[in-house]
Amino acid sequence: MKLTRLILWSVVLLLPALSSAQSERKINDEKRCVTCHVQWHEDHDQANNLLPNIRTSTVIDGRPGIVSDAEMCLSCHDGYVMDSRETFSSTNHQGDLDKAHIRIQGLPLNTTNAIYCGTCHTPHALKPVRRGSLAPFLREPVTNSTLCLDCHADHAQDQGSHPIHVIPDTAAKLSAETFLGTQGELECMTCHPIHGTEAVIGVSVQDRTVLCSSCHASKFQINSTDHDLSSTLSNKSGAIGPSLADQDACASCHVSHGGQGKFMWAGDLDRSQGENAYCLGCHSATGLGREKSFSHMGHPVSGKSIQQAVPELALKAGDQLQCVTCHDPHQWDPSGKHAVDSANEEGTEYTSFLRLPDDSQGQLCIACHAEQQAIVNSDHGVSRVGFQQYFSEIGTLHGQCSTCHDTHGPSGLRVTEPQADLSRSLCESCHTGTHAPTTIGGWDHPLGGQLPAGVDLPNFQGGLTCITCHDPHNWGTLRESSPTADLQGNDANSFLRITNWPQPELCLNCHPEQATVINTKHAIEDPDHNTCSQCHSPHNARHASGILAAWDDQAGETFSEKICLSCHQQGAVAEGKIPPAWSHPHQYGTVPPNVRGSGTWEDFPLFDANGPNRSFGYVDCLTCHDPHTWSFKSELATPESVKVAGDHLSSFLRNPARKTLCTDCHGINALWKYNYFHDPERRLRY
Amino acid sequence: MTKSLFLIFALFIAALGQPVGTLVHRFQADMTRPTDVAVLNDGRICVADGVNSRVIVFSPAGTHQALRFAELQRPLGLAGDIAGGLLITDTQAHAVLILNDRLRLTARIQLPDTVDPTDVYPVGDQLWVVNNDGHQILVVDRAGQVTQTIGKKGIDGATFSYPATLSGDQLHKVYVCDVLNARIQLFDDQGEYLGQIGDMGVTPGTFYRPKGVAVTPAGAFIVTDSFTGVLHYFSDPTATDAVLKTEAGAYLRLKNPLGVCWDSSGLLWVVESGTGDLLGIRVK
Repeated sequence: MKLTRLILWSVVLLLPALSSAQSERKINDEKRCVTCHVQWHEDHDQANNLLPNIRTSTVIDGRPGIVSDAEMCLSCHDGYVMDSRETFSSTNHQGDLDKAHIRIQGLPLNTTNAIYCGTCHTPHALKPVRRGSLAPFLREPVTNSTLCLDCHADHAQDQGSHPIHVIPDTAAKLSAETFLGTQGELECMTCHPIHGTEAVIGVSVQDRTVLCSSCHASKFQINSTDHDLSSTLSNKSGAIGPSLADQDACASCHVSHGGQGKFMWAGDLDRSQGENAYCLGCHSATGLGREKSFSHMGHPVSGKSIQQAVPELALKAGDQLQCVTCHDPHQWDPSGKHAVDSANEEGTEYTSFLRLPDDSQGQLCIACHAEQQAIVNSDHGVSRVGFQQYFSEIGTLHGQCSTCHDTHGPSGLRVTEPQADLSRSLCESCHTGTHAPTTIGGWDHPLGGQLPAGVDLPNFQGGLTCITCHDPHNWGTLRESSPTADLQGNDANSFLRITNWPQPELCLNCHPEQATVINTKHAIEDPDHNTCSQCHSPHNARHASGILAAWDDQAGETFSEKICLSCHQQGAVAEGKIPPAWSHPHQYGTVPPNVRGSGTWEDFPLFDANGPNRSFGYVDCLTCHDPHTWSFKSELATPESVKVAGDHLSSFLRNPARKTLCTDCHGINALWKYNYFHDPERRLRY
Repeated sequence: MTKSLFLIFALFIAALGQPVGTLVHRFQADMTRPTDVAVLNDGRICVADGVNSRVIVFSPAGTHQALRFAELQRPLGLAGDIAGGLLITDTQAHAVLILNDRLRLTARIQLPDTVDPTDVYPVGDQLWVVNNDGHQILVVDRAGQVTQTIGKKGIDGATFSYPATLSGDQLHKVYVCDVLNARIQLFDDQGEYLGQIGDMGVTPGTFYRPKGVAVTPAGAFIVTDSFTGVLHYFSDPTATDAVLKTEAGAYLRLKNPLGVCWDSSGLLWVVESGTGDLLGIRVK
């Protein structure tokens, strides 16, 4: 009972206080509403109200009112509640905007169909993104550009506009004032000030340097280059942009909205050219950059995939080869040290918008063609004294690779006097003449002949050419510890495609039938020569027949005698096998078909003073002997060792000595004649 | 019924002695929504053009020059100093700048970043500084020490909702424009609350956006209303309000009037923010 009484008294005593609080809150709430909703104030309908008559033009949700009229907003945002005075002085998003220019989606306009503060703002909608943020009380969020796209849907990303909703790589470099989405994304307001005097932040007249460089600073190396079309082609118009003279370095090629392709291209794109269309649009026969048109005959630029990642060029495996694989259109000089005005400067292998220079290390090319890197330290390296001297003399010294390769040229090779076989032309352009450090000529291995079936070596139309045997990028196996510079080559190097020492592997690729010389007494080697090159020289040979290297003119009388007896004489390497007599009469004659039987000329070659003669000649050493084959019998052709003594079945004889070789011509007198000509003692018996 | 009687009374008073404001000067200097005005002892008129980071100094004849210096970032409030110089509040620098009569910066009072100083007025050897966002008045000595804080956010007496400007009279009363409470609050020079003038409304005697107040030596004062554009005239704090009219009898309506002050000749100087002009008005 006592407790009940206490509660009742408490209620009675507290009622006035509660009533007072409610009354105060009511007054406060009313005051809060009429702070903006002045038409709800009781004075509003008084005859002596001080409101100007003009303040009745705004329509919100179909109802007229002066709430959110610019004058109402300004009455607080003039610096004395909030300070937004620049906003009211701005030309962006101000009234009198023709509604026809935009497609406003669900946002109110005033009665003159103009946007006004209330089009985007309402105190009853979203709260400020953060205290003091740029865009409070918005009808829809700007942190994801929703509000902007309500009217500017044609500027959405899929309409050729700059990407939004993405986090820029350069976010950390942006100023603290940069507007970004809640997760740091680029949004419309990152570039566009909603209020202000500029349509785009940081843009002064045509110069977008400040804006674009805040994220794309590295691209501004384009300034003053040939790709800065606003200066280099300022007198032109049409192909890119409305007028190049009215654009800045960026806007000459890129437009932020309504562009073509992922690079927001200002001009038209031939999409059949893929990503290269950005380049070929100008670098075509009729384009603005026609002086540097691309012929499609040099280095391939499309349809090929990068097999392995190339970090030097920021390429991933599978990326398509394109113009921009090698070129950075914004950077004239990869070292970043281009002249103040490099426009109209002829490019070199160090500039030319290359991502890397083709310098003495061949950086650009070798980034992909790593297997060719060995050329740098070879005598084909541009840093070699001899190489530099030679190309300086003829005036065609370029970078490591571009000295020989013409990336955009019709052939891909830098050939001044092209023949059908371009690679041969290229090699011979250096390795002939008085300037050449290593000349070829005279008697060389014949070129053009068809490679034997099964030989998998580079060729020209199936025939032998320089690069069949040589790989100009790889000097080859070194037998010395010294660098290769100006080193005289041998069978282990000399840019041979396949090593030729100690075994003549390269030669035997095409001449496998001569492999029988291995393990014979003719398999002579020394530190510089393999078995083949002891007698043969593929370049600068002394004689075309067999591209024979050299011989002793005093060793014999006939062609073969001089060759053979150069070794088979006293003091020479084969002095232990000097034939006691060899003077088959040197009468000229022919070998009739009935004598040859089914054999060929190679079974019984004749010679004259100049070498082999296929129709008319005399018997010489090589008529009976084949120095490559120990025996005409295949099972004996390769002896077990060089110590095996010769007999009538071997001894490098072409055919059996006892029954055919001599008797083919001499019949039963063959033995007598053989003794007569080969055995001085027996000769005396006759 | 009571309300109707008050209205009839007010109209009667207005008909008897409605003050007339005659525009005699319109000075222009490409200002962008200027805010406050102060008259120096030598007669020059200073206007805060904060958007352009400058103070425009007009001669009484209307010639002008811009006052700029490194410490001047966004001046908003001005007041003539007792010694003839100029006091400036800078809302971006959160500072009060003290200039001598040659308009050379002599002292700078740095306030905390949380303080939004929109106006200043010298009271004795103290400076009263409006902390707009803080809804209070700071009393600061010239060494920068805050000696007193007056008010907080609220709707009662001695509380504020975005106080904007202040001024004083020779009786050491200080008049504070309490913008969103739509009233003028009076304090003595010790900070004691004396009462309020006006309330929210859009009829004579009420304010909607009171922004500027200026008091004559005789105790009459003017209050500008930036929304209705009129100038309220009070012959003394207890007087019934009147609204300045033109000689033709219409309300003298300005475009967003803000700061206001009297000069020694009795001419009223008003910042017309909407046009960016400084107006000289003769009040009779």
